Amino acid sequence: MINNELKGHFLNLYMLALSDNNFDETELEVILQIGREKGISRKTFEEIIINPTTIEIQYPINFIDKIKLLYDFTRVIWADKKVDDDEKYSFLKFCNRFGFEPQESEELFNWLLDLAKKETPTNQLDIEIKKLTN
Amino acid sequence: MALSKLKTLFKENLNNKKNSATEVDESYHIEKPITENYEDWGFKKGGHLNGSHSGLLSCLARIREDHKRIVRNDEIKQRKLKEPLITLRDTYLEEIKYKQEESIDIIKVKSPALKNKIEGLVKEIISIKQNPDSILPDKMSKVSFTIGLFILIALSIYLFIFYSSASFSAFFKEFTLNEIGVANSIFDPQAISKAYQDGVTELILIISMPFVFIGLGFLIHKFQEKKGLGKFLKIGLLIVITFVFDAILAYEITEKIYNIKAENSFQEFEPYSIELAFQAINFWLIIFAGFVVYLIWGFVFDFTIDSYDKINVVKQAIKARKLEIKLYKEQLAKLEDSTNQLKVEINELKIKCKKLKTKIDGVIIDTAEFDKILHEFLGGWTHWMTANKKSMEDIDLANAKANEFIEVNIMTLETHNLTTV
Repeated sequence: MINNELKGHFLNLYMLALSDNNFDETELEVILQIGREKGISRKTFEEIIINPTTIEIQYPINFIDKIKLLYDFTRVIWADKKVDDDEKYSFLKFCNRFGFEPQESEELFNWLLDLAKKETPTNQLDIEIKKLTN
Repeated sequence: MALSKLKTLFKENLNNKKNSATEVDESYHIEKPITENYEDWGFKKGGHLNGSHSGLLSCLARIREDHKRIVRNDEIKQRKLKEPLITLRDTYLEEIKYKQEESIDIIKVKSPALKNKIEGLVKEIISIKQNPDSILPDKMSKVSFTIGLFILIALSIYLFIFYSSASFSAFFKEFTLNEIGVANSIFDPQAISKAYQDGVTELILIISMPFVFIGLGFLIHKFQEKKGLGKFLKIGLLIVITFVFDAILAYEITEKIYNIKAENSFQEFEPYSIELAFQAINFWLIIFAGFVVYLIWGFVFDFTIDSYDKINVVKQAIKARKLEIKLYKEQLAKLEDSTNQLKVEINELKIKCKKLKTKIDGVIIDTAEFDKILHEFLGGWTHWMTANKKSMEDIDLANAKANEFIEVNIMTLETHNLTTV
C-alpha cells in the first residue's frame, strides 16, 4: 500500500497525463488501474479529486521536479514488488511527455527502479543524482 | 548497469545546456486552447476520454487548478475580490490597536492609580495606629472614658447593693426596735443571705430589683440619642416613674419603722401618711441615696458612652479605610480581568487577521464565474455523450458526479471567500 504523499503525487501524475492528448482513454485507464492495484480505489480517487482541499495539483516546472515525480511514480509501481509491462509503458509515456529520448527514458526507469528497491526517500534523490554524475 | 545516456541527460539538464527540458513548460498550465470556449472544449475532451466518469472529474479538477492560475494573474479582478477582506482586516487591525491602547491604559495608568490609593490608605492606617491622637477630636477622651467607666462600675455596684438592700427592707424585712436607726433601716449587710434563706424567688427578686433602675437609666440614655421634642417627654416620664418607685420604697420602709415605733410606744401615734413620710429624714435619705445616685449614674453613663464614641473614631477611621481598600482591590481585580479579556480578544483578532492575510495573499475565486465555466464544460461533455449514443443512465451518472464536484467545490470556495474567519 502506498502512503498519502505518494497518493497525491500519483494524482498529479494522472492529471499530467490527462492534459496530454498523447495519452488516450485506454492509457489513462491503465494508470488508474495501477493506482487501484496499489491501494487507490476508484472511489478514493474520485473523492480526492472532488475535494479541492485534499490535494494541490502541482506540475513539475524544472528538470529535477520532473525526475522526482517520475521517481514517485516508480515507487508507486514498485509498491507491489513487481513491474508490469503496462506500468513500464506508462512510465515511458511520461518520459516522452517530458521530452526525454527513448534510451534516456529506459536508463532512467532502470536507475529509478533500483532506488525504489532500496527504498530511497524522494528527498535524497538530489544526492543520488550527484553520485551518478560525479 | 550502463547509464551513459542518463548521465549525459543529467549533466546537460543540470548545467542548463538542454533548455527545452528545464524551462517552465507553459503547456501544463493552460490546456484549453484560447480560441475554444469551455463547452466546445468539454465536447472535445468527452470524445478524447470517451465520456469516462473519472476522466470527467479529472477534467473538472484540472479546470479548477487552471482557473486558479488564471485568476491569480488577473490582478485587477483579484484586488476587487479581495477588497472586502482587506477592509475587514483593516477594521480588525484598528480594533487590535484600540484594545492594545485600552490594555496599556489599564496597565500603566488605571491600575497604578488604584495601587497608589491602596498604598496611601495602608500608610494612613499605619499612621493612625501609631498616632491615634491625630484624628481624635478630644485628646482627653481616653482618660475621660477610663474615669467614667470606673465611676460607672462603682456606682453600678452601689446601686446594686442599695436597691437590693432597700427592696429587701421594703418587701421582706421585719424591723425590730434596735434596727430603726438611719443606716440599718435602709441597709442590711445580710440582705442577700437572708433572702436566700427565705427562698430562691425572694433572692431572685431582690437581686433583679437593681436592674429595674439601671434599665430605666439606660432607657434615658437611649431616648436622649433620639431626635425630636418627644424624647424630653419620655425622659421626664421615666424620671418621674423612677422617682415614684423610689418614693414608694422609701415610704414602705419609713412606714415599717414608724409602725414599730408606734407599737412600742405608750403615746398615741396618728396613722402613717404621705405628710408624715415627707417629714421623715429616713424617707429623704432613701430618696437621695437611691434616686439621686440613680440620676448621677445616668449622667455618668451618658458621659462614658460619649467618651467611648470618641475613642471609637479611631476604630471607625481604620475600618472606613479598610473598606475603601477592599473596594479599590475589587476594582483592581476587575481591571485585571479586563486586561486578561482584552489579551484574549486581541489574540483572537490577531488569529483572524492572520487567516485573512492568508486569504488575501492567496487567490479569491469568483464562484459565479467558476460555476458557469464548469457547467459549460459539463454541457459540452454530456453533449458529446448524447451525440455518441451513450446510455441515459451513463449521462445521468456523469451529470450526478459532475454536479457533486461542482457543489462541493463551490461550497468550499464560498466558505474560503467568506469574510467571516
